[in-house]
Amino acid sequence: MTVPNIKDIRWRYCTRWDEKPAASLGISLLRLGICRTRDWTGSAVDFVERGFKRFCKENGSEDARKIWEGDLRIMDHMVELTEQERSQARAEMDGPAQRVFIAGDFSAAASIPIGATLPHLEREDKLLPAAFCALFVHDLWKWTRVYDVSDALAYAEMGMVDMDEDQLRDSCYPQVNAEIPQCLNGRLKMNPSRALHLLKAMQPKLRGSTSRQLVGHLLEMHEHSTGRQHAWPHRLVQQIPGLEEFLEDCDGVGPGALISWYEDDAITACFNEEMSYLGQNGPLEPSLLLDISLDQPGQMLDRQVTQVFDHVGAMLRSLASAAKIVAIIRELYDEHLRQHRLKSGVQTEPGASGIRYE
Amino acid sequence: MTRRKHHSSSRSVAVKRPVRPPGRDGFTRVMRELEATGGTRPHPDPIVERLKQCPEAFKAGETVGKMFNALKHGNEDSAAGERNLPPAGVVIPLV
Repeated sequence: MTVPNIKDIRWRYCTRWDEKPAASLGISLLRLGICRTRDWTGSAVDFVERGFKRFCKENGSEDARKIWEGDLRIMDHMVELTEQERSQARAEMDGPAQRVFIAGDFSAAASIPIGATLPHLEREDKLLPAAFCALFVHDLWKWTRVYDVSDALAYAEMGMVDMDEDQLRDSCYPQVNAEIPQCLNGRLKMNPSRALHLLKAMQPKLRGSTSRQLVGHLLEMHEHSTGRQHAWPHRLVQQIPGLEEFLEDCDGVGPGALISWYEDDAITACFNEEMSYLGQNGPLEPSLLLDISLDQPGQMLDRQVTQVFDHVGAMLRSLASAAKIVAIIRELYDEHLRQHRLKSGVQTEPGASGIRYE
Repeated sequence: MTRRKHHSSSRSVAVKRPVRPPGRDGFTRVMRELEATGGTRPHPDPIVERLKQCPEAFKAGETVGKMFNALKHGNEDSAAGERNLPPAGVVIPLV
């Protein structure tokens, strides 16, 4: 038997053509210290991957991953392509890609049943639940779509338009409004700036350790996200040919968080209904899309790479702080279920509860 | 305060080489490799070069790839009647 013997070959192989964008990015990452010389294995793609992985880890990706389910990828196309599509795209191109993208997707919405947490906050100050929710949702929206009571109210309102009284009696839609906790009634739209001001003023006076932890993590999360805006893909339509058409064919963006009161409440029912239609009319658009133009002088490239990586780092640090908040909220919810002799369906273990699956 | 007396010598003093920051050599080497990979100059791909010396290896690899694809996608390829034959002189054990 004769089997060709090839030694010292890496398990993953990229053609030189495909390595070129990674090499251009790698040069910048090496200059900026994000990649290190020991990351070099002979492949530019491996080199960038190693640097990127370490960068993510240093910015809290492991903590974030305990709650948030999704991907963060560096790609030389704005969407993931099959091998066949890639070959086709390559045939139509004059040269290797001159642009790389960082795309982020949430593959499931993390369940955040906040109902049992609100009384802990209310015991400290009657405005604390509203301030906490307002800033938490505001800061989460910088990184992901958040499905909460406002989405459920809008969905329920649309659903109730053609319903008669009998249908309304059996429907969960009227419950969305009815189930809003007393402490949030009339305060759902608190301005995030006011919420921040209140939280900062209340923080030194907090008596309970749970409230102190929650507010502490929230202010930490806010610090990481200050000055950042959500990097929605549509912000790049002017720069990237074909992106506008791609987004027009997409069927919206999947939420990365579901904030309900309790696990089986009316918000969750609306969410489940709405999500069952999501993705039926096209692919889901990425939750985040950042681009790096490779055909520019070194200094300008480094500046753009720094901006993009600063954004990604801020996102990971902010989501890591948010993950600590969600873990506490889930613990409090589990405690509530134990006290009321109910069975929990929400995981509190690392691995995150995935409610919406594509 | 005492000062140490410097030994004067008629011998020529060796010129000190500039001190390189640690790891600078590695930095330059990796930078060169990346520039070569990303550059416009044709740069030989070591794996392709080795495959050129041994085309049978490429054929064998291609066949193994097709076998794995067939397993992964439920033998869709074999339904089309395409046979995957290893190059002459190469025997690939069945999986």
